[in-house]
Amino acid sequence: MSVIEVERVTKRYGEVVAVSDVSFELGPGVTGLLGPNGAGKTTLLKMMAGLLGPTSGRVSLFGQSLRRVPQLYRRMGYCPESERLYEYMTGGEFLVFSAQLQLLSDPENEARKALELVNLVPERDKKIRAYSRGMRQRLKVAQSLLHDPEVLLLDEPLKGADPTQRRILIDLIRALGQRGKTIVVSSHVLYEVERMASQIILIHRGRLLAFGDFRAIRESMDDRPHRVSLRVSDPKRLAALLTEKALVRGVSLSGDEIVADVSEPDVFYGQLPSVALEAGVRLTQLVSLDEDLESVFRYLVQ
Amino acid sequence: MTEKSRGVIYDVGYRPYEGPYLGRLHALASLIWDDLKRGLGVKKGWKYRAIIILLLVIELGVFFFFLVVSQLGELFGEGIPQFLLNPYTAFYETSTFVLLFLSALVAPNLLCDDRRYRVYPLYLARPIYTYDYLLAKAGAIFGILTLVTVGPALLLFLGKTLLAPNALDYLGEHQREFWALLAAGLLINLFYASFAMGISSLTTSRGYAAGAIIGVIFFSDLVADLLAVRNSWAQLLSLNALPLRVKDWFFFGKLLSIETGQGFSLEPLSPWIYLFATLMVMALSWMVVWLSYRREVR
Repeated sequence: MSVIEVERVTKRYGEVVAVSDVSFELGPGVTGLLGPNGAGKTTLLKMMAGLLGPTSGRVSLFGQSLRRVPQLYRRMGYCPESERLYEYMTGGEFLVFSAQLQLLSDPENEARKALELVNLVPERDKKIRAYSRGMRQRLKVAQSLLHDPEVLLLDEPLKGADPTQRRILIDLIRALGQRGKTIVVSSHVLYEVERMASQIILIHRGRLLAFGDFRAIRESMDDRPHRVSLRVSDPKRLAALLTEKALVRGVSLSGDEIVADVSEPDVFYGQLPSVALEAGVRLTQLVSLDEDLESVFRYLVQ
Repeated sequence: MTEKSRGVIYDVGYRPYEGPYLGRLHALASLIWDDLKRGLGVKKGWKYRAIIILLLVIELGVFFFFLVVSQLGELFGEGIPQFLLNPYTAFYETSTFVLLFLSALVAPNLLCDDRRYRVYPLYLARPIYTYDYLLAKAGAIFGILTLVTVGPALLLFLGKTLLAPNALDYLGEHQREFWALLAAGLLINLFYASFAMGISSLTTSRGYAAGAIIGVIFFSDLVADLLAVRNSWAQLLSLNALPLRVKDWFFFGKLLSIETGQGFSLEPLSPWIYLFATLMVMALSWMVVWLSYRREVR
């Protein structure tokens, strides 16, 4: 059984379709929820968190609906996108209150542990209204971890955090994922998602564009050339030979670098050594330019 | 990160929760306690607190006025209106002004901000029900109204008892009035808490909600006064008067004729009609609350 199941989910606000017919199943590990602003990420996360009901379709956690069984929130932590918290409380009071709502038996102790986890102990007695954006983010993540949930839904958890805190949060999320927790992290900062998650859900205008391992998604885009950068001792000669043998769709030259558009990567990588030998050139660098998440994202969204 | 260090949670200080879970009532108690503090302005600015304190002072003034006047009335007897001699029925009539402004202050403060700043997911992504959240709000509003209005009413009873020639005799003779005073206060506060919640759930603006609560009550009074010159039924339009009529009949055993202020005196309707109308306004308010929250939260 999957931990989270999203089955043909649609969410409409009057005439506006925020999420349209989205389906996927998630198991343990970190999944990045990606999409441009207004794509429907927050709406989808809220439906997964049971805070919004879908117009049609079904969302379940461990096979049950969160909207009907709130006890499931013992197994799930949710970090909302909104930066507003209970401004009149201190950070420590907020976590104690959250632990009380989570029905933990020792709220003070759990709040203290959570504050330590996100390095907010020195700010414990400061009013939340005086917190920076980064501190608020860390506090929100802390409240979602108070009860050690099996599932974590984090809406833009890194927004506003400073580089050091980003690294700490990324390490924490990745470690929790490796520990077997099911984590969904929404973000628009692709390289950060790439550092945390191997699996992505990519949505655009409410529609599911891609789901799965982003490298596998990239490989499945056979209709679009892969871009490869090569540094060689004689770029003109190698470029001519690659074109002659129809291993590339096009090349551009810049100094000792060739950037080639490759339509059949397997054939290209298989034959490149022999072609280089035949051309009598020395290959010093070979880099795939669009194997990263950003390329996948840009391509699919465009 | 090396392969060896991967997945070692304690590298970043993570410690899982291993303790037991408490029951839902603990969460409800925490919510009510937090809302009581918010509603009373414990951690809010001085302006909010000053208004709360002012309303409490006015209510204590009402208590003091009735205590002194009723004592003087007993001493000098002649010419003093009956309601001043036995002030319990009149106490809440005079307090409705305070109740109205207090409910218009507290209910929007507790309901509107949570929605305006979208913090209610933080409350609701917890093992509690939506109605726990709403019950806590209602409990806190009701608790604050009760503290500020029923508290002085009971003080009035205590004062009258202590100033009586024989306190124990007074207590024995007026026991029924004590319970009537308490129960009537609770009913009137429940009415105002429900109505204020109903209006506050329709908007995210505290100002609009407060204005609407005060405006609807005043407007309904005005319309009732204009239409009720010869028709007792039009008095039902006065939202403010409904729980007071129930109080008169149900708790103090009398239903006074209606003075229209234009020289007419109208016979009151059947007390059951006032009770029905009061319960309907409360039910309608709760329906509005539920419909407003049903769409956004589970």
